[in-house]
Amino acid sequence: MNGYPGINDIELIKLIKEGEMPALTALILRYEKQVVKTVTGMLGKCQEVDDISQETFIRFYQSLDNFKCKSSVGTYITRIAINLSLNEIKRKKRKNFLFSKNDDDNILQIPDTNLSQHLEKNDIKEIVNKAVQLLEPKYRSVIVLKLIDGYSTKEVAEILEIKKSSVLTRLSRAQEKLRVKLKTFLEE
Amino acid sequence: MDKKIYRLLIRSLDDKLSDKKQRRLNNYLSALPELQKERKIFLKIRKSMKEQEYKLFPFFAEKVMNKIIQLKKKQKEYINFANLFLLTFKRVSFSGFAIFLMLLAGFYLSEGSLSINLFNESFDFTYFYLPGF
Repeated sequence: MNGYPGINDIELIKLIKEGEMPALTALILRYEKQVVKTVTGMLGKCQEVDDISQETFIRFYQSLDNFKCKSSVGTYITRIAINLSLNEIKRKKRKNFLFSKNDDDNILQIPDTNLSQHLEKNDIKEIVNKAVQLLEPKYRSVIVLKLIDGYSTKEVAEILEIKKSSVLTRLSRAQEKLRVKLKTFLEE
Repeated sequence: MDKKIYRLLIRSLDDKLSDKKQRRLNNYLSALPELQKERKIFLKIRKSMKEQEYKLFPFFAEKVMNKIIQLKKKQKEYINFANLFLLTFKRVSFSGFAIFLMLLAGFYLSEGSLSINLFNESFDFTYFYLPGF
């Protein structure tokens, strides 16, 4: 079910505003992968990814009147996904604080460091993913958008509504922090 | 390792360096095997991030559409309720206003005037005066 093949996003939005709901389904199918990828990058593989991804499209639909076509639909949806993910991170943090859950914050634990020599490709991906989850949200969002989603620096700046130079600075710091966290695992 | 060079290396991964800075970095890269190693590690991290896997959820679009339809339904119900409330309020207020006008007309017909004094006289509060208080 992937209708409206020749119709671009702006035309789809016009149809949705006119009340044509199948056009919304088509738009969801177009951006589903992108949103799930962004939210998974921000929250890690967890139960909440499905809910936040769904909520992203619901918010998008509710804020359609505010969408003025100045940015691309993809950028607009990704901005909503990032904001909702950041809210979820805050909520989780508050919850952990209230129930004083020991979160092993900032510690990437792998029992045997000799293992690093035998890590397989999938293990490395998993460890890198965990390390990304330990970054502060402002660094995490830049890393996810640039390195996982593959947005350009200009697009990242547009999504996060910050300067291009700030994106580059955060990106450098984030990679430096990641390098420190992954020190024992990625030595050759 | 010089922190400045290290940061320049990281910056070079995402930003286009000026010719001068790029030349400087290249010189360091060829002179320092440690820096080369760091570069390789960064590229490895970036590669593994690009290859991050994510799981798509079954019937995702259908679930979102259902939620949106439910929301619209609720919104419609709310609007209907608000309209009903407004209609009832209008009816009650119109009736109240009509009764008030009728009372006023009755008062005018019986007293021949709508003066405030007349109104005070007709409700003489001295009747309620109790001796000894």
